[in-house]
Amino acid sequence: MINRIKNSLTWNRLIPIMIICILAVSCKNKKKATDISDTQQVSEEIKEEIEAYEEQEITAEEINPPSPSKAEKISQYFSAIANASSIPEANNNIAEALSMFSSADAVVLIEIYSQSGQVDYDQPTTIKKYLNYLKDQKKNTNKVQDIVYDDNGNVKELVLRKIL
Amino acid sequence: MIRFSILFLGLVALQVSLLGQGNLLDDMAGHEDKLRADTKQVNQFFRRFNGEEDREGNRLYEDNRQYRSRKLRQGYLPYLFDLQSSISSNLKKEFIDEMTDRKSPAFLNFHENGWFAEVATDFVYKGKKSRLILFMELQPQGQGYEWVIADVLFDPFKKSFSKDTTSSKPFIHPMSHELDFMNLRKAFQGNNNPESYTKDSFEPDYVSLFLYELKNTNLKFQTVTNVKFHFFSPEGWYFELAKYNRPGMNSGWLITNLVRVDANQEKQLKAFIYDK
Amino acid sequence: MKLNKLYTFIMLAVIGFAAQAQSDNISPKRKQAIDSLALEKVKDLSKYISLIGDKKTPYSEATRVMDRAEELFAPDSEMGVSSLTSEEINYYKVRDYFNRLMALNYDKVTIKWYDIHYISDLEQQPDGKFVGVITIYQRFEGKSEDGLSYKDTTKKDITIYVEKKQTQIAGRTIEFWDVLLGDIRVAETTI
Repeated sequence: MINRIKNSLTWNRLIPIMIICILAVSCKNKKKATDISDTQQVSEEIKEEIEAYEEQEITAEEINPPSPSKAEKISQYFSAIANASSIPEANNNIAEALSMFSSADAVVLIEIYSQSGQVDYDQPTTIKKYLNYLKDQKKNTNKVQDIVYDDNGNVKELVLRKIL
Repeated sequence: MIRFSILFLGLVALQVSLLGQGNLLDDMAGHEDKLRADTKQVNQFFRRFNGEEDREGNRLYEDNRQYRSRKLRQGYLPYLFDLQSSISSNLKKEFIDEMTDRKSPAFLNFHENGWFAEVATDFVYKGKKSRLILFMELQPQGQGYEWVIADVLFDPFKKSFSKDTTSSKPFIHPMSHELDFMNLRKAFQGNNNPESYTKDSFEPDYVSLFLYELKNTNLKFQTVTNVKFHFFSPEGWYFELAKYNRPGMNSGWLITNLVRVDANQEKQLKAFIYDK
Repeated sequence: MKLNKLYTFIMLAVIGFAAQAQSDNISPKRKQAIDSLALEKVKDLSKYISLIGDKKTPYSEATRVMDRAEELFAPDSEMGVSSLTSEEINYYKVRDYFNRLMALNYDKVTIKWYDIHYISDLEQQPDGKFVGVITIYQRFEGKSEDGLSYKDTTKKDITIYVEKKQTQIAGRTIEFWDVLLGDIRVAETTI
């Protein structure tokens, strides 16, 4: 009796497993059958997809070039101000650059020396003074090292480092 | 056509401006060697004397192989002399050999005694322009150092004091105390040499006099006219350091006088310099 | 009693730190960085002087530039100027010197700097500040429309004061090197 029950239980477990296996093999075989028969078509489809994607990328770049990071933008303004061909041009760039900052008095720190964790700075200045300094001196010898933002996403503190 | 003209004129203007700049630069191009050779500061004289600066003018520190090297100093020292002075070549050679001696080389120390400044100035003294010399020394003070007035040489001061040391000098007799020194009145009356009544060891202090006259506004500073330095260091030598502003490579702060001195001669030479 | 000892200890520590900060041992590399900073300020001054002396600089800009140039200096700084023809030194307050420069009657002023400079060691003053001297050479050429021309070469010995200072920025303490220019000795020189 017990053996009958045992046998019955085993058989009951086995059947669903067997059904699943049969189905899986069948699917795999179907896929294999598909691959074997349509390789060329699939590869062409893939190729077409890739080309379409690349076209999309190029088009996107042309219409919407990736926006420079804030640091790059600030550096660009520095360069524009230092290389301006006239005072009005420099002043325009200064006004534009200032719009990125929380105020004209946003702090600018310039790192002059750094070794073993010891950092020396030049006397702290403000962004307005610094931008006018670039205009007067016509030289841009410091690079953006670090930026601190306020809650509105404007720059409230800028750390520069001397380009040696 | 107008645009072309503007462009053409612009190019011409640029060319002119560049040419102008080029002329100025050419004019300067040949001078840099001279300026590099010039001993531009007393500080540089010290460094070159001590071999603490390389040929390019870069500061050398203890971790540098060339720092105070004999070879570097032997290269520098001959050119620290005023080549137009009358210092003999033999004396120069002796001096250089001693300074760069292998066993005991001698160096100058900015902070040590042994050198002082002679500063010639113009003052107005009682309405008249007058030459006054300040002798100045470096002294430690607080966290660092300062220059201080050590002595003064001023003709009107010197002429004010003439102590009679002969046997016929005026005196206040030894029993004056019994008369409450009443004879002081006669001593000072109509006497142009009250210094006769001072101790044997008395010497006028010109610095105090200088300060007193300055405070009383009898003395008014005008300008500095010349600066030179006297070195009684390293031991056994004296030299004078003066500034030469002239064309050529032998210019700037240079040794203009050099003498061997023993202790006695040093004393005499100092007395001569201070005009004591 | 224990509190007094603690208080004394803290005070001594603070004083000790302050003294240490003032008489900071300046290593050669750090000195090099300070030298570069000081030299840059001297070059900045040169540029400001060129702008002030340039007739093309509008008056309002020249005044602003004079303000900026003056900020480079310690208070009461003076220029002592002498020529080859006279051993007398003429003294000018820095602002007066700039005003005289602006009043020069040349239509074109060109100022060039020789690529030779010399920076002295930094010596400590009694108050703990460091002081040094930078020597530079300048070539000046002034031309006016009526053909007047003037050229000279001057040696400039420029005092620099260097001090470690602290400031509060956004609630944190920032230490910086305060480098200021001081008296300048200007002497005409023969090349």
